[in-house]
Amino acid sequence: MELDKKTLNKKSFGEVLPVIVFSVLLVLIIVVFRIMMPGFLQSSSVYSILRKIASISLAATGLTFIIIIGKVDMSFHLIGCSAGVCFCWLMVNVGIHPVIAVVLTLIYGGLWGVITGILVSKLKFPDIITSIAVGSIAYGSGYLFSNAAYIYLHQASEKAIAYARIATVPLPIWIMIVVLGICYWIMEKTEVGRKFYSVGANPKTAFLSGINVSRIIIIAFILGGVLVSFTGMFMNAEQGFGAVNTTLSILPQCYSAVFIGWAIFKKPCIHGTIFGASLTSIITLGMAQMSLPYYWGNLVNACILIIALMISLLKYNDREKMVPPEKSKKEEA
Amino acid sequence: MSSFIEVKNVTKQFSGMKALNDADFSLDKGEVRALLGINGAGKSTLIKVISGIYTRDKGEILIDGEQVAIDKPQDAIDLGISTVYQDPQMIPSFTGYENIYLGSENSSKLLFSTLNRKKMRAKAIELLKEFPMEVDIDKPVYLLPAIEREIIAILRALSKECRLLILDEPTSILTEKEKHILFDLIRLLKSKGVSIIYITHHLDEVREICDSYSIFRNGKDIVHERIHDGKVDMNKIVESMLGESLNELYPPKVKHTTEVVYEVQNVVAGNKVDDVSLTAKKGEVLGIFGLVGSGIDELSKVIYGSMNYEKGRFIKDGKEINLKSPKVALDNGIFLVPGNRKEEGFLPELSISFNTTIAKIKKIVFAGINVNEKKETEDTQILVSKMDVATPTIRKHVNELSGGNQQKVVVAKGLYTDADVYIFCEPTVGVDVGAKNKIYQTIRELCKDAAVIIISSEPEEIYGVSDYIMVMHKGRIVMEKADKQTDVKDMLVHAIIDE
Repeated sequence: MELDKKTLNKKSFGEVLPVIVFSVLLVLIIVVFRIMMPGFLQSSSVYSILRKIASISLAATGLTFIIIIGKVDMSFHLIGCSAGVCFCWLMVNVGIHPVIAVVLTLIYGGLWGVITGILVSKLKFPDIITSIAVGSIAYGSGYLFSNAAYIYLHQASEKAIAYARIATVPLPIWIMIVVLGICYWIMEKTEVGRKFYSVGANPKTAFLSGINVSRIIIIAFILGGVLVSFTGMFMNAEQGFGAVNTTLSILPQCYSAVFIGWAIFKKPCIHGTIFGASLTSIITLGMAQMSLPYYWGNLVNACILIIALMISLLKYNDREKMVPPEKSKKEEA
Repeated sequence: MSSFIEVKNVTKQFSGMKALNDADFSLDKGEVRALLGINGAGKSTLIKVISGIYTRDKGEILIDGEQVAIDKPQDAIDLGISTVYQDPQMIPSFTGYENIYLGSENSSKLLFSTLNRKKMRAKAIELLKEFPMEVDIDKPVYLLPAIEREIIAILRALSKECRLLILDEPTSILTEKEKHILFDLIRLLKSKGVSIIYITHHLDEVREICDSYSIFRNGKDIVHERIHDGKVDMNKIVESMLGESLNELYPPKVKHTTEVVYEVQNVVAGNKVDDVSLTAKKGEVLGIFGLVGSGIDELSKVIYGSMNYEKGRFIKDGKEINLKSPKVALDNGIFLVPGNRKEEGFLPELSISFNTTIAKIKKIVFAGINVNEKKETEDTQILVSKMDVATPTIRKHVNELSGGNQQKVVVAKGLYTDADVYIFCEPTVGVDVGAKNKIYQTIRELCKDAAVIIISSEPEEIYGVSDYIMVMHKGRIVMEKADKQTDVKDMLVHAIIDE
């Protein structure tokens, strides 16, 4: 047992290797972009990259909660669309103070999560199809706010959520740091986080261990809806007008972020997702700055998702191999 | 008369345990032979070797005196060997005849060739003429009663050239009346020269339909006997099935003063648990024995609040509790080591320490929410050494441990809850002898300060660790006695024979 205590906090090389590989990859990508575009990632553009990372990592973190509990969400980007226009509509058409509008929008996004969560947990609906349906309803509802037209944000206060600065750092970055910090703490350090991981590992065992599985599933979908609402608000405020399709294309990028994180840390987790979101955001932005059309970013991100999946599967196969195959048993005999 | 199929010196090992050890088996043409033995005796391994699902490590199989190679299921099918499993696998929305010819609809090798339903149906009717049974082949099978599904499954086996039919507990889902329809079909098949291996737990069926029986124990064939004039010595069979018991496996039963802790009254759940009452006492191990399918698994879940029930009262420490979820059970100091370890027992891909603390995570939570990892490590360390879990570190994922060590972690998780009622359901399935001994020891130690209920389909285990024994059959308690007033044979007789 003495030995146990020593090895306890030491991570094995196999655990550290993916972290190193991905860090090197991240640096390499930045270097390549720097060589191709000397202006890339200079002090002036650092904030624009961080802004992008804030948008993606918040949505992807919401998705991470759902992936952790072993479910799949195909609705978060659609909820983000709906929440984004809802936010603009509340400020421009209803005339609500931006701060209250933010709160109401977060609640609005969370409500869509409640619906999916209840359907998937209490009524045992299949997660993928249910989330597509609920997301599509949310997306359709977005048009009710905008009447299929842009909602222009004229006042500076209306765009403040994207452009205000505290100590020269833009507000979205502060929000990202605070919200993701809390999420990380919840998932890795608290009782609730343990319950999330238990439900993901085996809902039956979790249930028998006294965990309210349905409640955890509903909370995960609510968090998914709330966090993607931040993304919706950031992106609409940033472009200066509310449009329904603003966050429509973030789906592959968010999945890439989660699965890159999974590949690095061997489990879906908040810190992994932040890592993944940074990687994909830098690639997307780099390609945009190389004045390639925007769809190149999506294309590359989808390819990264495939690679991330491959890496996480490789590890899965490794584990399978640890169990001695039938043949070796025969030889023993 | 020479044997139709002969199995000689077959051995099959699983991770060091011999499921079949130099076993012999033979069967004549047109003979119906019962295959008997307690769980883990090697019956199902034998039929899986014969039907090509497992490849044997050693030994040979002869058909009509010639050695044959059965290495995969298709080899067995080509030789005319078909198996009908306990719960026949069918596509519920397909009709009877579609299920009969499932997988052999077409002789055409084209990828997309149209189905000829008419021809298929005509063929099915031909088959029914040969084996006249009352069965609706035009209805989707989910609408059919159990016996017709069973017949369709057997017809599927007969639709191919079938010389040996293996029936794995075919009557487990049938009613008394339906059984006789099945027996008629078996007699018909026999008259047509089909040999049948009949696996069952019910000895009265053996007397009724079988020509002979073989008893397996610990992977070895113990007895082969012919049945003359329907006379079967039940006691002799039960004795052969059990053999010498391993007394040294069980720790001595130290008696303690008892005190009622948990009472379950008149609980009814579906057709699986029928008016069961029991009293768990501190200082005593209550053993409940029943065969697989007798309702023991369901009972373990109902008294832990993880399965719905129609009726019943649960009284803990003199107060009635509303047992609506496992959380209520845990809060009231009741813990279940579930029967299906892989599906219910542990959290795969998560560490030993995570698994150990999950049911009572409050103990390591600091200031209401923050998990104290240092305390978690220390607490787990103590329990891991107490249970002798063989692992280099408590960070190891539980699914990477052996079955015995996995179960020890599940027990450790229970110990961590400091419960005063422990329910163990099938605690030693797929567990090596060392771990078995450790678990029995733990059970005996626990009963000093807590009530322990052990529910199992292994009679020896129940007899070996319990102070008070109940036997369950078809959802009812059919016997309850103190351990001194009964023995394993008595228990098994009650569990097998219908009153």
